[in-house]
Amino acid sequence: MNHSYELPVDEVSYNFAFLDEFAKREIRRSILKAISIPGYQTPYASREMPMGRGFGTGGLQLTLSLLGAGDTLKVIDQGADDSVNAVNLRQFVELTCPGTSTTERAAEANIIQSRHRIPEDRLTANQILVLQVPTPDPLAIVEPSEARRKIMHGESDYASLLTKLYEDIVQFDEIAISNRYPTRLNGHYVIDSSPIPRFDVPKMHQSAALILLGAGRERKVYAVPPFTDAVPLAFEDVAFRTEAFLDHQGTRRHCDRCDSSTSYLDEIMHPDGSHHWQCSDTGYCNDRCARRDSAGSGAVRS
Amino acid sequence: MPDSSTLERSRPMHSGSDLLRFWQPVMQQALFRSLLTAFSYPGQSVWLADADSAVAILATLVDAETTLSDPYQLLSDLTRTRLNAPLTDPERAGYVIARGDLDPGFSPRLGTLESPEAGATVVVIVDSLVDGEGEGQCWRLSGPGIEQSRKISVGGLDASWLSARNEWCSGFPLGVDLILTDQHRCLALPRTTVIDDTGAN
Repeated sequence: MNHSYELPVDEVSYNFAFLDEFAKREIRRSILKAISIPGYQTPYASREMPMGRGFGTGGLQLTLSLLGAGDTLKVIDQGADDSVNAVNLRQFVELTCPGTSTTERAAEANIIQSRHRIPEDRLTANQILVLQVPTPDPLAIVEPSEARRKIMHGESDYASLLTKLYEDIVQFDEIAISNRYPTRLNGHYVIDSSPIPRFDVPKMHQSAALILLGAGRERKVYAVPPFTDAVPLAFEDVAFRTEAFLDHQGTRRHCDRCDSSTSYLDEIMHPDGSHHWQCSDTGYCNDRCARRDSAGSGAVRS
Repeated sequence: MPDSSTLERSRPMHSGSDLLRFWQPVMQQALFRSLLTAFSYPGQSVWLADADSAVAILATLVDAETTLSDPYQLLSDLTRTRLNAPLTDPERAGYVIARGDLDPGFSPRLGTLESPEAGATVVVIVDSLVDGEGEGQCWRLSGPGIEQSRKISVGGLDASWLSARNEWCSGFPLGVDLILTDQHRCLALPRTTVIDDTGAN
């Protein structure tokens, strides 16, 4: 999006939050049904947005139907606020939602739209997390027919999905799913947890905040209500594992900037072949750096 | 409420233009966010409006794309015109508005195994909603959206509603989502909420 672009207000006046009121009402109805049936992929009439499918139109439509004056939004793309997808969506909201504000700090936001990460800081009951989803159906890899998948979901029949996980163990000694890990909600529906890493999946379990997941191209919205059991699929003898970030000696790697040893780390490669590790959640990392710098102001960093 | 045949006629001081604010986008956004909180945290009552909260709920959710049933003729003609939703039987409607002081007397849509979202949303008008123990039926709630359990008391609700609701919601994912509302506040009881009756006060 061209940063200096302004909507042609004189000729066409756009509605608040771009979508018309009927579109928003339809999305709102679907959201309430999605919360009532945790994990069920509720169909909704995904509208054409002024950006391509796959750029977060599903999450954006949910966010736009939630937003009102006084709300503060944070947009995350792969943990960062300053990558193309996050900047575009944030500017679009700033352009079309007068009266709302945006932030890069998770604690200041009451609505957080994200792709590929859940923030490191624990979300509160006053916050809503909106996740962008490319492929909402975890059964799509084992059953091509949506009509049949809908029956399988209704009957909570995930035997074929468990077989796929078992085949992974036979072949690789480990369930080889790095992200979009299938997760069972409230003992019934299994969801695609969106392309968040395994590391973030446990944050969905008994989360204080409502989590909404929107798929624009597939026209589906589903929800993880607050305080709901979200259990990753696994076996009694092969437990679910998250990324451990251990080095060759078996010690937990640290972030090179903020020294956090509990966050999800990105490995950053340099042209000379060396590499370092850094928090993927830039808001969290910046906060920690700022706090350390203000606490030890004057002290020389080693 | 028993003496009133319609919600709005019972309070003539509220003019038509007062009710019209429920159809304004800014108001609807705020009302939706309150409903979102209510559905996210079942049993937690949220403030909706100074009066006519049932009309506020329907104005937020219902339009020409949905079906509405008003078996007790609780809505004024003007409100029905503004909602613009096709009226039908409570057995076939997506949204039903009902009196809580009477036996439900109908079987709402429960949805299908493939499309459980087709289960109805029933707005039930009661006399009072209290967090914790209070007048009327006292319930202990648990399930998604509730950290451990939550106690609520509902005044002016016929005792048969609880058994009817539990029957409708006995086969998850099929079921009915209830919104209980007095004149000002509402609370939601989605189909996943487990209701234990702890007795009447």
